[in-house]
Amino acid sequence: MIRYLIKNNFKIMFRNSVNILMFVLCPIIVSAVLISAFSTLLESYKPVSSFEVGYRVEDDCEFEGYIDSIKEIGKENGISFIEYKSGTPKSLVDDYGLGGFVEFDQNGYTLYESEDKNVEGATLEYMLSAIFNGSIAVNENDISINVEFPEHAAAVNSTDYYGIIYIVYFGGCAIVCAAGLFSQEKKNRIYERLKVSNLSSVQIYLSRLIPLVLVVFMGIGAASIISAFVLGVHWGNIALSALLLLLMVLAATAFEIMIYYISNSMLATVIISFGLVWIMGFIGGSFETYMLSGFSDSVKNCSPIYHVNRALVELSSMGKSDYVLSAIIYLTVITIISSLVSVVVGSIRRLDR
Amino acid sequence: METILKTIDLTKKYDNKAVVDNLNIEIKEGEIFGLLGPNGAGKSTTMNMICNIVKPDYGSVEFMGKDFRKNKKELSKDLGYIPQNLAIHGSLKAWENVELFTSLYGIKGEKLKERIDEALLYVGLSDRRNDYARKFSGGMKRRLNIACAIGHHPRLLIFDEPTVGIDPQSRNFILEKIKESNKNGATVIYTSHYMEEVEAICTRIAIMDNGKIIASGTSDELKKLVVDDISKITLEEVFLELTGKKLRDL
Repeated sequence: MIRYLIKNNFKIMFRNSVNILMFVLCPIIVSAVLISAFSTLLESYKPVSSFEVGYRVEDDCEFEGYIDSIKEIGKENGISFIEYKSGTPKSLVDDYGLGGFVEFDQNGYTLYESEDKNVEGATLEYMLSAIFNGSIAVNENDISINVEFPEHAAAVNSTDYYGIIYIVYFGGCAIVCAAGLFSQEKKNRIYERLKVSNLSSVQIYLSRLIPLVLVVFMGIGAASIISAFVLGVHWGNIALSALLLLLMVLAATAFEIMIYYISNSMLATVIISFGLVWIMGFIGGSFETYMLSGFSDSVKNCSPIYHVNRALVELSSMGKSDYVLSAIIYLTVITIISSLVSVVVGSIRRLDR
Repeated sequence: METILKTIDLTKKYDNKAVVDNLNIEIKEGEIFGLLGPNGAGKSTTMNMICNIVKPDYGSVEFMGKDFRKNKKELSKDLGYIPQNLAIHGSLKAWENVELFTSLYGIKGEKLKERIDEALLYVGLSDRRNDYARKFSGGMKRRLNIACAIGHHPRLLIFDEPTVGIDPQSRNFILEKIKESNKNGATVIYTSHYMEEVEAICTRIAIMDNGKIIASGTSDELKKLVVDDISKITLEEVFLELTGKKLRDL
């Protein structure tokens, strides 16, 4: 019975050019600006393929016999060891643009890292640590290599980060898409016509929720595809990312319709919704460089946007994320609770009037 | 004639003031029943209670012999409501508006398409079916507003001031169509501020003031309440005589 109502509500929202601007163009424009502005800030997180490292072996070093094996392991993993007999480690790193410098001595080794090459330093540190802690077996006859590089070596760049989080952010502002429809329903008293018919509160609610979710999801879906082709944003696991975006839009829509049902004012709904999305975004990394927020984990975990951002960004950079499950649970709970409240409030309003 | 709609002690209060006060009206099948009253008389609240848009504080509405509120699922398909507001979507085409509101009554598929064509033809908008409603003139919007309420073939049509703000041609067209609907079997409740309209189409008229019916009958019966020679008085003069000349919306 509500199939035609859903279809026509969808048409009303889909034909509104403001919605195309808001959900397709805005995320791309904002992403493009921020990608450009913060590309150097996030550059340190770019993965490195190969780099050079200086080293020196002290006379009394008991690892001297393993140096060639270490160099071999490094070579296979893109790290070239170059021996320097003289010069201070710092000046050598600076003068030759080395990714780091290692002094092998009697007790072990001393690692000097470059201030500008954090990833190279961390990678070198990880490899040496793995060798000296026994993760990599080293002996002269049988070299077994099992280097697992730290996760941040494959971390996100500014293109992927801002390309993803601003699609999430604008998806959170879903209610704008329905502003025209809801205002028209109220102004022209179309809702009264719906009440005269035999529609239940659940049917009226669904006839608003479903088309709104579809239009917003299509909008940010188009923005995602365009951002992938135009800006080069990588989405990693596309199916899982799409599911998360759909759930994000569903939760935002359900929550914001609930605000509208309670406040009975589109202006109040937009102000409250945008305010909350901004706060959740602020906590959740929408205005940060890779969520390096000053907030504690317990505060960040309060934001559903943080879970979605983190899950999508990690899916993009690593292909997996521990935040996928928490994001799905968070969004599903928001959707169910908001929907129940909306239906109850809708029923009370319907009976009261 | 059988009673199609009956209000029993219908009462609605806002801020402890009775807007509709123990209202008892009975409408027979096949009638065109006119409801007149000054602003604030309680006409729209009465219509809203009859249509289940507003819940009465007391009393009930019997529609086709059953309590309407308790049997809404069964009875709502026999009611067509044409609100005073243009309750249509400007960003939908004419046929899409009719489709939306007709489908609410469970009509679908080919039958729905037929009903859309029929309703648009009925209000003279067949040629403009693919135009957006926002591009329509006031009169065309009024006609589309009617088409949206008749597609499901209701037995009772409620018109709440359907001719406000339109040109004489459109008004005449709408009035002719109301009479035609009535001839085809629909019972009509009609509210308006235009006395000549009510006099022209209604078989029975009730005048409402302060939430109560103060007089009812045919046009001639109402006139006889004021003067013996009914040719010397208009319905408007009767209305002013019964409700007073004092402004109501100060």
